[in-house]
Amino acid sequence: MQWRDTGLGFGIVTIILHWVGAITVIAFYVLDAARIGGWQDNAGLWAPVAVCTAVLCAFRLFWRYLWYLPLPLPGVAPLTVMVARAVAIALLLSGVILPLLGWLEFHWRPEGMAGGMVRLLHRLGLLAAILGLALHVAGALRQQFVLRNRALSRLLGARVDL
Amino acid sequence: MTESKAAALCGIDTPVFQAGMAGLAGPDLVAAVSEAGGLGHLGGLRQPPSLLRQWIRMVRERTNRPFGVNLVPAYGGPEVFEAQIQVVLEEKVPVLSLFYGDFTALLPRIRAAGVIGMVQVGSLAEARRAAAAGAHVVIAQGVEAGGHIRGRTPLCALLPAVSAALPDTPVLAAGGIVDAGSVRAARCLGADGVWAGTLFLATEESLAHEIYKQRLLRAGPDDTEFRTGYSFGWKYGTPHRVLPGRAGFNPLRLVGGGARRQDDASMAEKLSLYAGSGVGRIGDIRPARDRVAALAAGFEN
Repeated sequence: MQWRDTGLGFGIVTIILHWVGAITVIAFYVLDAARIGGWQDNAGLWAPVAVCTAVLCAFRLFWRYLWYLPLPLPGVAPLTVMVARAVAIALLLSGVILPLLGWLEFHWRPEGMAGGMVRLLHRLGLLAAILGLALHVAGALRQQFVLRNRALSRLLGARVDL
Repeated sequence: MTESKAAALCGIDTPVFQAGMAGLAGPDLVAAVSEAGGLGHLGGLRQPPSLLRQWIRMVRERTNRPFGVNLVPAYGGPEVFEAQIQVVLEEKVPVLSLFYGDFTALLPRIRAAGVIGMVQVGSLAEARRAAAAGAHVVIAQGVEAGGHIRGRTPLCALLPAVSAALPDTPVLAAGGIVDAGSVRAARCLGADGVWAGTLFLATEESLAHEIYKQRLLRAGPDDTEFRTGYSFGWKYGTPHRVLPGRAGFNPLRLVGGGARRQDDASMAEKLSLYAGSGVGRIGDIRPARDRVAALAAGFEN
């Protein structure tokens, strides 16, 4: 299997990063939401997961920029492709920005207007990211069960002839 | 009828070449143009290799006349482009037209395979490079053209310069070619043949969405815009010419693209659609053979 992405398919680096990143990002959202809500004191776990999420997402953004994206599968409307790509990039950006906002809120602890702004952005950002993730998962399920194409198989390493 | 080196080279009756527009120039249009004596080009850009092969075979089921495939390496990367080239060579497509890239290494391979290689250029320097690398035909694209645009020079400046610089290479005129008058004007400037896109979108056989076709018919001569923003699938900033999408709150107005039959009607209304500056002179939807005949009339002496 190829290591980098080409217009014909995903490489092994992207496939591994996608699934490891998915687990990390979801874990981060849960920990972040719990910490914001004050449901549990998870500061010891939050920090390493936040760092892993930020590094993974930053590298994935870089990797995505470096190589061509695989062609969309036949039958997927251009608008769907545009929305799907925009959501994917937004999720990766959230994986970099939310840990930074969390660090600002929990460790730097700004006060006054700046503190209020950081707390607001952190909460809105997390909410938008969770909604984006839901849209991303819904899109993947639609590809698998409604359009019945091999988009998911492609991200599991299967060779899909275009 | 005027003699045309490009027509003789391609084995067609009249030097009318239909541009290969991605997703819009499918087997029906290509076969109809070739059957009418011109040369149709499948729009290979954005087509996965397996679908491209299917389209080529569909054209062969509809006509025995020569036809071509248009490929662009700018979309999908070198691996997709190479896979598409392999399909063209394996299927022994008579003509391959190329756009937006450096084809110095590819053209000798195309020649060796017995395929006629055409390169669409936007500058004199690019035309010279293409001819030196072995292009059989050069297409001089003026800034008047619709869709993606290679240069910034008007056809009336580019075409005579390219024709004079390449006396042994047939040169086609592209940009604003929609009727016999524009063909005659192009001939005066040294064109051996013409390459038309927008005109063939407004045909019964094109895969353009019905709303796209209607928008072409409603457009006036001042309605197209030259842009360097976002166009679907292309690198941001690639120059292109469009009919702007619906005004008001409409983010898709910022996106250039082509709406196909299977796309949403709302997208066809909102998207800024590819069209050349000659669109104001297209008044109806016709069969492709009528378009070929209309342009061929411009080659009559």
